[in-house]
Amino acid sequence: MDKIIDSHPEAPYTSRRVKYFHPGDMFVKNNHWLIAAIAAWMLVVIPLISTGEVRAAYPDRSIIILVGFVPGGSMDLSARALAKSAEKILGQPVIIENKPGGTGTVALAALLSQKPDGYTLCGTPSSVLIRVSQFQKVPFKPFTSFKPIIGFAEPQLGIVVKKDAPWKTLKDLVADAAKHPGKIKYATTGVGSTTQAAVDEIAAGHKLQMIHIPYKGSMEALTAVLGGHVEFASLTSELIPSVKAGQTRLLAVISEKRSPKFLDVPTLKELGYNFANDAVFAIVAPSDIDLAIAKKIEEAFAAATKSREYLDALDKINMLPVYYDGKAFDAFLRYHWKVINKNLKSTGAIKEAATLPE
Amino acid sequence: MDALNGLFYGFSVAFEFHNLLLMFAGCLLGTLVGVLPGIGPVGAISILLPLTFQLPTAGAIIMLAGIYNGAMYGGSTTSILINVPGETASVMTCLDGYAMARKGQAGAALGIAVFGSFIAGTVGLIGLQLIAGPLSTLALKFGPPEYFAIILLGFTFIVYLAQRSMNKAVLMALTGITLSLIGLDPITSQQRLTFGNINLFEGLGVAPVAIGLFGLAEVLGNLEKTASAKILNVKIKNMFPDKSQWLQAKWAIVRGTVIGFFLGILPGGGPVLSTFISYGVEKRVSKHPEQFGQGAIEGVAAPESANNAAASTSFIPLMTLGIPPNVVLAVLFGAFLIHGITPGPMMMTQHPEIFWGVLASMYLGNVILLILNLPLIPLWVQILRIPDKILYPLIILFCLVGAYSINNSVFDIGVMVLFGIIGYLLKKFDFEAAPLILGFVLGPMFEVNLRRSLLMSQGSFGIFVERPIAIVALIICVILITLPIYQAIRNKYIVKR
Repeated sequence: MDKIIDSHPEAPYTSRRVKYFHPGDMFVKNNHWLIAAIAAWMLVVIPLISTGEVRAAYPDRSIIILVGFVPGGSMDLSARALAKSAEKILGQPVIIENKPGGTGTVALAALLSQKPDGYTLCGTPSSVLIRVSQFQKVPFKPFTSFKPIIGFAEPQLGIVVKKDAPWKTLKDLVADAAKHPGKIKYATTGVGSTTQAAVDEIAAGHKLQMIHIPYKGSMEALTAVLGGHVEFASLTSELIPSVKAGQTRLLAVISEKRSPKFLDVPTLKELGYNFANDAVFAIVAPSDIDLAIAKKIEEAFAAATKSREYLDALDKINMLPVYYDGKAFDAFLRYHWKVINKNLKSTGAIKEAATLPE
Repeated sequence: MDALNGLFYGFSVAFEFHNLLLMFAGCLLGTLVGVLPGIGPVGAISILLPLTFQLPTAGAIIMLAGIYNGAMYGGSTTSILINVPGETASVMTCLDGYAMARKGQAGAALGIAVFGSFIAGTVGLIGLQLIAGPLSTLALKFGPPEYFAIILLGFTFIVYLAQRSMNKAVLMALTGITLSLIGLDPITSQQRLTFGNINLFEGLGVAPVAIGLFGLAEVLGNLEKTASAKILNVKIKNMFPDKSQWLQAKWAIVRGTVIGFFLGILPGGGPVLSTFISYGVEKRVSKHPEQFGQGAIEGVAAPESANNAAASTSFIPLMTLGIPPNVVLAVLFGAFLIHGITPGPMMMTQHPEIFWGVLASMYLGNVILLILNLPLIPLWVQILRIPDKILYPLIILFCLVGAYSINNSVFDIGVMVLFGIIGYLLKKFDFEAAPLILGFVLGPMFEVNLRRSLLMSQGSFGIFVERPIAIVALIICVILITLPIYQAIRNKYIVKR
């Protein structure tokens, strides 16, 4: 749906993509039309006044972040929140371009076909790099095709029971499950998902026998808990409104640190299980990007994640702010690739990873 | 939120400027596709689906619901004036509507259709408003076994109420279920029927399939018809039916509303079926059945009321149980999923702005359609004069763009074209496409709830007999299946005697 407005023969960088006009944009305060108008104006005027090659410092024009999911999803909204704060710091528009398809892999593949000039980046959940690519053969190497810039947000994962359930802590629940093998049923967001891997980790430690009922998403799994069809559920961000409304009780969060929303709830790690969320939303660039430019983007985005505006926007969509710099995110990917690989093989979802990581 | 507070909240959402605008656009577009014989609401909603991606979810659903309701109003115009149904829910209106127009009563026929639609549509919405809350609470108690039994009952109804051959409907529903199996297994995440093709990992999309079956196939089918219908050149005056006509149509509107109300909720029912049944009922209870087909006003009032009541109440199972009862709602279900929302018992509490906003905007939509419809009829008549050689290529273009823009995927265009051809062939061989798309949408729910039930019971089918709701639904299934067999045996026996 993109229109290549113009490409100047001498300057290979002037070809730019401008978002197609969608009627809804008028209402959600996007100024794509305005940007399109300005871009068109500049394309006409700039070649007239500057015949020589003038390369201003990066960035001298708008930056595009490809997102592999449809507008309105958590990845899209998180990336938009980051872009909005980052453009104030970078002084150039940061535009989200949705390229859904292939469970988010299409956008990553599309990034590799772009010039590594720092004007096209990709916003992706780590799961596309290290989970999806184990399920399906993808046209990139998860560790080496990209240069991670920043990990900036994550969903709230946790284990919930219904408000009137007898278990006040995860320990109670585990003790009960140990006493009654094959009686406790639990819901997750599907085989091979992080939520299921977390319960696997708990069950393996105590050799628990529980019945796994996989659901398609957090909302369905939450409905199963509220209807009393399962005893507990391992969920993502949808749990937040239900815990706040008192419909469910949160026994543990599945993340490295305690959740800013539920400071009195322990993490799985604190409870002695070596497991934390492996789904972090990140920005990546092609691996052969100029390192100075990569550093500049990293600094700008890092500053953006600290802005009030960004934090408020994340809060509204029930996402948690996190911060991994490029190096830390790279280590994160390598560590969790192995954890996921082990889990997917043990559940029988895959025999061998479909993609080589490097 | 109780029903009254909810409604006030809903109106606050519906009256937001952009939602008003979207509702208005939806109603207008819906009337247009209702009027145009080439394309119906299913095709229009699937084609326009990608356009709504950038909208907030409530606004998107408001617009799509507007199209649905608008089409129910618009269809009657074409039926009455040119004796060609603008869409399938106004087939019955042709019989007496056109006859009335030839007698010089076009105005009264159009008028009673619009007023009947308004009354029935509003009653249906009141039903939706009052029933949805309690039913959502009840639906929370529905676990996998209950869902499995209810969806099985839905399939049985779809087949039982099929407008043509029951055997063909079974075949179509099973084909739909089989197509829905493509992609990753919902329980084990293993690949099924993908043949290693990366485009099939997530299965076929509802929208490309629906656009093909109901958009492209419709156009291909219409290309064969060369006879262009003549627009009746009558002066339309007296949009308000006179007192005697009102008295004559009064009970037809009431009966049409009641029939549409219940058939709308029933899986496999919906607006189209309700028009056939309500027309039949009117003819049977009438003191002068010989006038039907000669311009009886009841013959216009009943089906036109029924289809609007059904259009309103068909939202009940979608919004409370997450089960789409007919094709249009199946496509709307897809729209919800694309926006990241799973319709179901949690929707009223988790997304009140969508449930109440859509409900309130449908109330408004009914009023707008009532006000707009009559004065705009001369305009619609003009639109009917657009030659097919301009209209059909346009629709095909929209089909192609619509299929592509959902995922920016060329593969989806191929899927759409393939299903367009399949849809055309199905039409030629007298198969209905509706059970196919319903099987396609309900299939994954059907499968996953069966498998979840068996996981819960550790493999025992006893779980379906232990649960009261499940067993009741299963017993009704058995009755519905054995009834035709019993009748066939009885007929044979009587014939022998």
